[in-house]
Amino acid sequence: MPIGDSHELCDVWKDQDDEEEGTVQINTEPEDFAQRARSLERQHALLGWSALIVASAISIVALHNVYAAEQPWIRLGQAWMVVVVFYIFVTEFQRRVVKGSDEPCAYFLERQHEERAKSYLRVRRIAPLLVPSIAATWLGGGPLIAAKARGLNPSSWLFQFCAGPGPFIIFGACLIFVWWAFGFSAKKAYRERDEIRCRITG
Amino acid sequence: MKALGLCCKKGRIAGDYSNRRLKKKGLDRGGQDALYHQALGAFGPAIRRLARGYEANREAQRDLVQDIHFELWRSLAHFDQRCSLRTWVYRIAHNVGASHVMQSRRASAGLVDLEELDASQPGHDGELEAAQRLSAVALLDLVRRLRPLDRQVILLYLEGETAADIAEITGLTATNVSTRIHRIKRLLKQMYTEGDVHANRRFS
Repeated sequence: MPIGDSHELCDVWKDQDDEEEGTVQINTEPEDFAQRARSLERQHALLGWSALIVASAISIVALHNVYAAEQPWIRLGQAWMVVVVFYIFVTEFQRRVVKGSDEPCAYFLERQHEERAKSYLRVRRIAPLLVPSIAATWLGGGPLIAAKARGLNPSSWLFQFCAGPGPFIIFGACLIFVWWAFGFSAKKAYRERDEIRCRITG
Repeated sequence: MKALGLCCKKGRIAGDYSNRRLKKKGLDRGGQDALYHQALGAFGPAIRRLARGYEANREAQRDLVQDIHFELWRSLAHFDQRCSLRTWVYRIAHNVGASHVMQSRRASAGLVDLEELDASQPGHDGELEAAQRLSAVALLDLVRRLRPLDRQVILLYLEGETAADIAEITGLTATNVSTRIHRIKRLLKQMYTEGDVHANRRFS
């Protein structure tokens, strides 16, 4: 028997107008599911390899700069960049998203909010790791060297911008925004997790 | 590399996913398929209704139903009978639905708690009458405005589950579930007494 005496309410819900039911095709064949599972596994492997290739490409460029650059600050900055890229790759690409869990719904939601908060905080933690690399590259005159290499006119605004502290200031502003935005989102996710936790225990 | 999930040789990737999972748990694929068909027969319509509660768009709704069926089939590989098949199916379905809501930023932006929707006025005995006049559309409208946990409670309630069953499926305490259901009833009553127009205005 349903809760209370609301049979009628349940009937209204269950008698939903379902004229499209006959025309909507839902695949319910286990063989197709098995095929989809294999396909997802292949996609996951492909994604992992793609991420590895991208990380390797960035690292090769940075390592080339370490070898080719004359300024020691630039070399140091680029070497640090290689370390950070691989740290991000190793920590981020081993996570899998689980949609269908058999745990009680409230626990599942609690865990989802917690993982969301942690992922925001991870980004917040990783972002400042780029500061030494960017700062060292700027100190070594990296943007200016790049501007000269592109043959920019020394009197152009872009060249002047690269010669000054502009690139570093913009990077700093972006970093502060990321720090704030992700911290805010993490707080919100933790608040939602706590609300659910209260309901589970209370 | 193993930890990165990149160790898949061609044969392993192409191997039967479900069989590997089942072998690990000592089950066979036939058992998994049989269980799935049993669940499909008993809860197929409930899964469709549930998907409507999580997604308004018809196309996305169909994808969600498909996702739920896929995850359900996959999960049954390690169904250990520590709970009933009903509880298992509802947990999987609602967790997939909740993931769907959480992943869609636009859908999860304006969701509210039952407390925010709940009418504070004392009710009267108009519940049955309300039920008769409330349309499924109005119910869906109400359901889709709620945050996932409240949505789960109301959807299970509408499916006719008992407070104890809802508590088992959601992991909430029975007291908490009863409180939520009481609020749902009061809210529906209020929807009826104020009329759909007023209720809708209040929700928006």
